[in-house]
Order: sequence, then C-alpha cells, then structure tokens
Amino acid sequence: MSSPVLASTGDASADIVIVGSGAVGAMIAYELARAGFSVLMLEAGLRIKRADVVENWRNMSFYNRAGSDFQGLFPQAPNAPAPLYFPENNYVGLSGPNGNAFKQGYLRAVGGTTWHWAASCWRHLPVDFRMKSTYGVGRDWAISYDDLEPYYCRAEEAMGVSGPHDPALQSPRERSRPYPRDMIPFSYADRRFAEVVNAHGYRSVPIPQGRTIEPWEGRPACCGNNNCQPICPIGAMYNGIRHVELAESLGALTLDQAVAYKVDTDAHNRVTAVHWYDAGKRSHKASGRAFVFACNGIETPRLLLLAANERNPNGIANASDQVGRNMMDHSGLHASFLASEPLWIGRGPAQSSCLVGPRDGAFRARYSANKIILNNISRVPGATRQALQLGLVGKELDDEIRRRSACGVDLSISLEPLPDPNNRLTLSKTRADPLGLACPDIHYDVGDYVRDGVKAAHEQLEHIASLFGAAELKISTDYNANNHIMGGTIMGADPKDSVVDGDCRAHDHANLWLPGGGAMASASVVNTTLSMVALGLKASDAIARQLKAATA
Amino acid sequence: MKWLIGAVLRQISHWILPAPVQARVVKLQRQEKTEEMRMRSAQQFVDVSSSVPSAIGPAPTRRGVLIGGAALVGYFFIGNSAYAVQDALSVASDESAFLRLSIALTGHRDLDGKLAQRLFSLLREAHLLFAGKMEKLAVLAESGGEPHAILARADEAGFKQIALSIVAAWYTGSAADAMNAPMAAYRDALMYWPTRDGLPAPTYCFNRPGWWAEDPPPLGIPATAPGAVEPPAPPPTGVLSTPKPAQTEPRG
Repeated sequence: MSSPVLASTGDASADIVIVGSGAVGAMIAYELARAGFSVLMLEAGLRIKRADVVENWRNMSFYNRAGSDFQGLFPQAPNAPAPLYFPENNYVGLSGPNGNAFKQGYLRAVGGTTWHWAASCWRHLPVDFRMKSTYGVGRDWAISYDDLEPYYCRAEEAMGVSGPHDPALQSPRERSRPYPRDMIPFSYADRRFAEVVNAHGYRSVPIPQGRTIEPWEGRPACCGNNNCQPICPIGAMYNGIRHVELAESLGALTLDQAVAYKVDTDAHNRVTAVHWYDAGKRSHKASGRAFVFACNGIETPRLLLLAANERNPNGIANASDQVGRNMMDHSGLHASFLASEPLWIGRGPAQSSCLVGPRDGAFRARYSANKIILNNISRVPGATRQALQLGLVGKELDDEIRRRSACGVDLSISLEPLPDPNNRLTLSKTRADPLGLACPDIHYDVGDYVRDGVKAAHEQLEHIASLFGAAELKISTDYNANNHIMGGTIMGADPKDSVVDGDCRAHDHANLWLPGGGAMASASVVNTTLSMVALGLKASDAIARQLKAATA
Repeated sequence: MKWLIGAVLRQISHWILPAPVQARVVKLQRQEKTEEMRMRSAQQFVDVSSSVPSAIGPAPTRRGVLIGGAALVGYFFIGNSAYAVQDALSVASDESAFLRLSIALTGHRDLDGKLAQRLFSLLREAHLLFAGKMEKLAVLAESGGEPHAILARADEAGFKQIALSIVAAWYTGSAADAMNAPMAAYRDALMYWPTRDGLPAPTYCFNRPGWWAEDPPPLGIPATAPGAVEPPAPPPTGVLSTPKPAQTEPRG
C-alpha cells in the first residue's frame, strides 16, 4: 500500500495526481491504488453526507421540487460554486441560439455528480464510434467499440449494473460478458407501455441501471424509493463516493475544498505539478509522475484554459485550439399526456424502460436519432399543481390528483448533437469565482441536425400518444439540458484537430490524461456515465503501463 | 454562555408556555436550515465588469437566527406577561379555528393538529389580514356541507381565493407555490393521500423487495374526465424547469 507524501508546508507528492473525485476520477484512483501506486485526489467541493442532502430535499419548497431543482439541495464549498437555478447564480454564462438548452446540473463534491444521476448505464452502439465513415456526419473516434468493449464490461462490473440478460432486450447486443445482474424488474407501466408500442417498432427495452434488487457488495437492495434524482435516500444507487472510499482504504488520499488552478510543465511539456487553493485560499503544489483531470465536461476544459502558462499560452493541452470546443449535450424534449387508462408511473426506480427503436438507422445521415425514456418519476406533484389550478376541493380534488397521477405520462426525448467547433466554452472576462478564477462561458447552438431530428420525434410522440388515446398532449418547445456534457476535450487520431488520443491522453503532454465526457467524439443519444467510466478505466490501464515501463 | 441561557429558557418554556407558542419556537429552529438554503441560493455571479471577485454578499448567520429565536422566548418572560398570555390564548384559539375550517374545506377529518399550527403560521405570513379573512370564512363554513358547497359560498362572499389558498397549503405542505418558500410538511402533505395505496411519497418506499413489479391498485374512478377544463401543462419531471406558480393571493 502506497500513500501520497504531505509536506509540512501543505504541498504534496504522489505517483498520480487526480483532479476531480467523481465516478471517473475515483474509479481511476481505486484502480491505480490497487496496482500499488500512491494516489492523491484534489476535489474542489465538499465531502457531503447523504442524510443531510435527503433532509434538504424534503425541506425544499414545493415549487423547487416540482421544478426539479436538483442542484440547490447539495451544499457547496464557498470557493467552488456550481450552477444554481432557483434563482440562477449565472456561474456558467450562456449565449447563442440555444444557450438556454445548456443549463447543466453538475455537482462539485467528493463523489461528484453521481450523487444525483439516475444511474442509467448505457453503452454507445458500435456505429456511434464511426459516425463520419458510416453516415458522413460528425466525427469518428480514435478507437472502435471493440477497443472499448472490455472496459464497458469492467465499468458495469465495478458499478454493479443490472441489465437484461436476454439479448433481444439489449441495446447494443454486442457484449463479451453478461451484465453483473439481470434487469431491474419492470413495473406495470413499463409492461403495459411495451405491450402497446412494441407492435409499432418502438422497441421498449429495460434501461441498464447502476443498482440491484438484492444487496450487492455492501450496497443495499434498491427499494424503489423513486428518488434516484436528486438523491437516493438509502445508497442503493451507484455513486462515485463508493470508489473514493475504496481507493482511500488502499492508501489514496482525498483533499476536499482543494481548487486546482495552475499547471507546471517542463521542457518536454510534461506536467510536473498542479497548484491548488485550500479553503483558506492558501496555495499548495502537488507534484507527481502522472496527472489526470477528471472534472467533467465543463470544469476540465475550464481548468485547462485557466492554467495557460508560458509554454502553453492558449491553455494546457490546447495546441490544437480544440479545448472547450465541440461542446455537446443530449439537448432534449419532454412530452406529457394523460393516457385513457391508468399506468401508475412512479412505482420503482426513477428510470426503468426506454424506447430505442429510433436510436439508429440510415436517416442518421440526415437528422438526429433519438431515444424516448418513459420517465418513471412520480407524477403526484405536477398532478397536484394542475388539480389545484382547476380550483377543485374535497373529493373532486382528490380524484383529480389520483386520476392525473395514475394516467399521466412524461416522456423524455434525447437527441444527438454533432460536434461543432463553434459550440465553445471560453473563460468569462467579466465574471469570476470567489478565488478570482474566471467563470466559464458557453455558446451553444443545437444545429440543424438536431432541429430536423425534432420533426421526426414530434411525429413519433404524436403517434405514441394516439396509441394511448391521449388527452392533453404537450410537447415542450424549448430544448432542455440533460447534463450529459461532452466534447470539450475531444478525442481524435489527429493532434491537429483533437485534444486527446484513444487512451484519453493529451496529445500535447505525455503524462496528462483527460478522461470523461469531454473526450467523447460522438454523443449518441444515451446517457454518458458508463462511457465516461469505461474511458477512465482505459486511461487507468494506460497510466499503469506507462509508469511501470518508466520504472522498469 | 448564550447557549446555556438559551437552553435554560427553552426548558422553562416547555413547562410554562402554551403548546402553540412552543410549537412556534420549535418551528423557528426548524426553519434555520431552509433559511440557510434560501440565502445560499441567492448568491449571484452578477456580470460586473469592474470587479474581479464575484458579487457574493454576506449571508445571515445561523447565530443571527438563533438569537432571534432566543429573543422570542425572552419576550414571553421579560415582556408584559399579561399581553403575552392574551396573545398566546388568541393564537391558540385561531389555530383551532383554522383546523376546524381546514377539515371543512378539505373534507379530511383526520388532519394533523401540529401541521395545522405550522400551516396557519405560514399562511399568516403569506397573506395580508389572514386571520380576519379566516374568521369570516369559518362563519361561512359553520353551516356545513361538502367542501365544494362551502367553496361556492366563499366565492359569493369574495373569499374563494383565500379558501383555495388554505386547501393548497394542505396539499402542497406550504403556504406558497413560490421559489424557496418555507415548507411545513413533506410526506404529510395531502397531495400524497389520494395515491397512497399505489405510490409511496418519493424517498419512502413500500418496503418489499421489487414491490413495484406487482400490479398496481385499481384506479377506482373514471380514467377520463369528460368536459374537464384543461389546466396548464405539468412541469416536465426530472429536468430543470421554473414553472409559473399557481395563482395565489398577492401579499399586501
């Protein structure tokens, strides 16, 4: 067991210095600590307690809960703000035709944003890695699905994913190993929805999920508390904190409220140290042999730009000028309607089944694919607000709440943006955080590829609603963010137009890795976390290989 | 030392103060957390090109809230005790009137008295001259009838909005459908009652592994409501949205 060395000055040294302690950073920390390396994690945010967050949620106003305020219940470190929307704190400045579609919810905390994800553990399709060569749009990755497949398996095993053992229900079907556990059982709503729509090619499948229905390696069984977002009250859902703690048990050290802001490089442009501010704004230096920035799709490019130095005047890892460009998210729509029969949405975990029929096809040469999630978050708050707006009281009010809750449906549609260099994160010239570090600005346009995809999605949604004899079909007119932040440190084979290689190693720096969503060269339509963790595990193997080769 | 005095005062207050007043003191303490969250979320990164650090103002401290609480307790000891007792009695009387009115307006006989105290207190803060309007409503409710009949009488007398505000408070657990409004109840909010045979309030569960795979209960009412007026769309679930709140009577 090996641990970082902390000097009396507060400076530190370790074999590997990781900035960020979310699912990606923590998993890498665990893997490398297990391989015998000393690992230091610098986390900008606080170490939080689940019970406090649950209590904050229950104490939060009805308005905030009905509006899905998944940020405000998480305590923030004074020096490391994250976006807040109730009211907006404007930490991230948004502009462009669809700036409002990029209102991301991410946390800066030990364990990261998997505190409030929904644990959907999707894989990209093999074709998603070859969008340019297959459909003539977007980019190809520097690696293939086959290259990443073993890491997808390891990520699923590390996170305890339940997914369908039946190949007919898998998306994609190309797998070398089974899911660690079979699918989470469908609720009545999932069964009935599948029965109605499958005859029309929509292909309902169980969402692979980072939870299990029996205890799993010290984690309790999911009890269907229907509160995955914003906080699983019982810890049944996978969260990065698990691998933080596992890494720490093997000697890794996590420093919370440690905000990285500066990077030293040597004559070979190798990274030699990262500087951070502690909670009292005292600066310290972490030296290491290998460095990993795993701060998710906004904070990693921001840090690279903030840390520009003499040798790297446009920012660290930015000789290509691609750092902060190609920003993507599954800009989405929501559709709600009242079915003519009760479905009882809201029983079981928040996400359960999803329609993947429109996930791939020749049409992708022209417009965006989509996936349609049967949102399983309880409809009661929304139904209540509607019933109250009707001015009802007594039994009529109770009946209306029951009818709208049981018959109400919310579909969440994810669309696939193409990487566009003009969708760009830059440093604000006018706003800074409490440490004086520039806040991020993001310009965003979903693009015609998505806009054309919306037309197809509308037809599908109207059709699905008609299959349920729906009333009150409402399709949102603004795009919503889905917090699947991609592209800002994009992967590619050519260092001239990309930031990292197939191992997520920076083209410009032989000992710096930037794994996570930022590396993803195509968005597909599925949640990013499993791909991010798989990329992290691949990077982790590369780091271990490189350090061992240097020592030998 | 302040802590010690506070603790002693609180203990004494338990022996001497009437229950409704005690509940208020407890509520003040409970509200600290909500207050802190509200203040924190008010931090703004205002676009100010002149200054570099963000414009984060000083947040009120826990201590400030605690001192306020202690001052309230102190008032009942140091202040004019005759007024204090009269006030407390009047509050207790209003609260029990509020509970009776709430039962009449919601049609639910088993409303919780403690929750009634909290909601009454929040409604008084949220609505101008609430106690007076409530008294008039209570008179209208005395002649009995189903909630919709009472509401119709309230409408004729110009008190429909305040009646609906009381109902909404019981169903949402709050006096206002507004950003960061203080809460009186989570699981006990009436909105969860009509579906409690099929849906646990989120964060709770039915405590049987895989219970959600079982068939749900029968709906028991018609699935469609012909001729119903269509309300505004519900907020999309699971994604950030800041919907317009339901109509509430403006304050002041």
